[in-house]
Amino acid sequence: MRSMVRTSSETTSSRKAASTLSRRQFVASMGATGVALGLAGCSGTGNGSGDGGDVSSGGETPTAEDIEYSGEDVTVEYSTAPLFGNISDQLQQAAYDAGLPESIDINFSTTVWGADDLQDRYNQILSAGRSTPDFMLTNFAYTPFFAPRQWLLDLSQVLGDEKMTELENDYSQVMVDSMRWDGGLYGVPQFIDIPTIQYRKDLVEAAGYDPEGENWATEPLTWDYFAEVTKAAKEEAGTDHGYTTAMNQRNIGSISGYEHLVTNGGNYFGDMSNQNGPIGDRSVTIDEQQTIDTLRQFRTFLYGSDDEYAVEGLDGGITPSDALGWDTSPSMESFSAGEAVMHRNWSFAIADFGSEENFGEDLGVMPYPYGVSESEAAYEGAGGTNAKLGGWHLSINPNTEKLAATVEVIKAMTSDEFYLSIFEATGSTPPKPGLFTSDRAQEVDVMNRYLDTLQFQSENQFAPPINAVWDPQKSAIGQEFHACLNQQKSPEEAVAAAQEQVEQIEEQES
Amino acid sequence: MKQKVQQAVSPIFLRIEQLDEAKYGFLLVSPVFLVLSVLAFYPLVRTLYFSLQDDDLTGMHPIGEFVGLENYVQILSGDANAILTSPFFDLQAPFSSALIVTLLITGVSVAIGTLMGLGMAIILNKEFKGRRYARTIVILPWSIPIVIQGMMFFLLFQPSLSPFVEPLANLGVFSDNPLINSQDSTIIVILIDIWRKIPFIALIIMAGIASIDRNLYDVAEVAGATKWQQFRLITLPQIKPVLFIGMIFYTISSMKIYGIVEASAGCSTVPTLTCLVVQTFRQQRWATASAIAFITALVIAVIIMVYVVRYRESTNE
Repeated sequence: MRSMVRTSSETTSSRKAASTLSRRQFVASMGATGVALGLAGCSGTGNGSGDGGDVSSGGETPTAEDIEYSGEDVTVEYSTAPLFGNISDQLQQAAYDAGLPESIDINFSTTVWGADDLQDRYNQILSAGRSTPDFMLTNFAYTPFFAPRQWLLDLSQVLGDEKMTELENDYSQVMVDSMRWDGGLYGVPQFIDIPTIQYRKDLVEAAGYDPEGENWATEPLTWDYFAEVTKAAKEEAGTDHGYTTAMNQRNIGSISGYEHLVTNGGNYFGDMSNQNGPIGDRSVTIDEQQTIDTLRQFRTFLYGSDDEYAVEGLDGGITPSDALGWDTSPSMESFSAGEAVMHRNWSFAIADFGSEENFGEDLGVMPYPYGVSESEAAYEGAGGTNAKLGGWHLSINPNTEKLAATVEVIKAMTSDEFYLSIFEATGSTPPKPGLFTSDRAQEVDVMNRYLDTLQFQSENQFAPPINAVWDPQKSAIGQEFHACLNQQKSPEEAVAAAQEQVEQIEEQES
Repeated sequence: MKQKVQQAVSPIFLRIEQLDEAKYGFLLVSPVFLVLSVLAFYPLVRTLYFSLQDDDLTGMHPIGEFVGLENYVQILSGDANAILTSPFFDLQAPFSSALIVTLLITGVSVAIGTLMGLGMAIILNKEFKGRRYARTIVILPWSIPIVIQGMMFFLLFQPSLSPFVEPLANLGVFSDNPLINSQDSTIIVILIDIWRKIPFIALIIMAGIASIDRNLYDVAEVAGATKWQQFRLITLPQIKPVLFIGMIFYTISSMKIYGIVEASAGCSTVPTLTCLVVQTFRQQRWATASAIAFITALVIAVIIMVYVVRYRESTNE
């Protein structure tokens, strides 16, 4: 009878024979399992045909009960800019002074800053359906992406008739309308940014000009006169630069270049009423004479009369070619160092430049110059002094679990008291033009010197296109304009190329 | 109850007891490997899934209906160039094309960086006074955060700040404002990539050189081999495996380049494939962004295959 006990050698050899699993097979089998589980995960979370998948829908209409605050102690999370996060205690108190119940605490959370980076962050939060932050500082550039997916709460459902009426009557309408989408309102203005020309009053006076006497504060200059003043002051003072602004590819097509075009009576899509659409069914008006003239003016500012496309009779050589690589912050350096006469920037820069540590009362502020008057402009809404709309809004996360408290905070933060508090603290201008004439605004240091200009310019601002195709379109325009200003293309070539690309996008996305 | 549970699991424990050491080891690590493989493969499979759908810019969900390979066809044929912030591939504007720019940066950076890393490794492998400090200094570029590296070179090539821009422009090396010129900026990005990758590749090669049997060199010296012959016939063949591994990692890293581009010249001046993915994703075109990401992965895979095939050929010679 065969022994039932296996010898050790038999055991070893049988084990070796049984040990057929190599490392390669093991790794391959783990990998195959991972792929299989990945596929299973994909099918488990559904396809993209509107079932929401792992994306928040947040489409339920809040009831009256949802928005009635019961008075319990609660903390709401507010995703905001470092500008506000740094003075959170002050703003919290300002909210209480504006009527916010003291049982509501606000947690100011600041992470990234910058429109693009913040959009990426909100993209992640809102698409994942997270319940915090409860409300956010948002930009109108986000509207066409977030509003259709109801990733922001329609505030017309929660704010009440009184607030909605106030928004219709007392606010900058272009600012309010920038957050409207398909009949809903997805944000209320927190502050408006007003681009102006900030200049060295002492330098232009030394060159023999009289800004006060000519009322530059509320009577815009023409581009010709602006260039003349800038050149004369630059030469008199011996500064490195005359006029500085951000002209990199990102800015030239959608901000500084766009503003300049509109003040020359032009626009990318004809009348301003066409800004948002209908996509594919509106005229594209980039390759028109106003655009060519605008690019020629810029070429003259950059390279002077030696440039082959310089405008005859226009003073030039006042803007450094370095500006073609500048975004907003780098563009401020030259003016901040006292090496520029004129500088285009948003209203936030006024509080800095106009402080006693910088230029004090030697800082002048004037509205944007113009090339063609409003009545002579080719398109409705163009011409005259005109500046691009800027600013930020407050929007509510539709997945918030503290809706009632959040609505209370929104109401407090959109009160006159709060608007004036942040104006005092940061120089961020209120989105209600009437507040510029209030007693409290008149007492805000530095900014109170320029309220008339800010109010005037706020009434002459235009919103950029707010739709899902504006991003690739402004990239195409910026690329072509930049190539022209970099002397790689003629103005005619640049506008023709931009026209073609924008039309292609219109056709593709219609 | 306890007895019943014991009876139920005892066959499983018996089976485990009968496993050999290798299989038992695999069993212990398999949960970790499973988690890792899911973490590695799930995003890949999900990206592929998204890339086969349509973009939906106005609906409730950014991902629309199934369209098969249409996204890939549109990207590779150039039809999608209009909606992308830079063309994917356009021979008429090579320095504006994401694929061409990325391949150019990768090819030049890997070639020059590997050669310089090899030289550095050979030098640092020799005994000399201060070798320890030299090795530390050489590693420093690799330790600097990517964004700071990009910003350093941004400042180095700012016309208003840098003393080098004007002399280089006068010599005709760069234009007056290199960071707004696509060709100049691409060269600058290549320089940055080489500067930060040399320590990495040098370290890998040094590890390979350190493992070479010194006796081989003694024998070669006795046989009358020159230094070049020793390098060509001993050093190079011996370090080939680590060299290929280093080049593979280098290539993958360069193909994915993004941080130093964004921090220096910007994605609008030097459009790389990852720049295109990020910008397209930001526009809520998730399906198109996924397709570009997948194409990037495929290009990287093809390049790796070339390395693997070349390596196998060289070891079979």
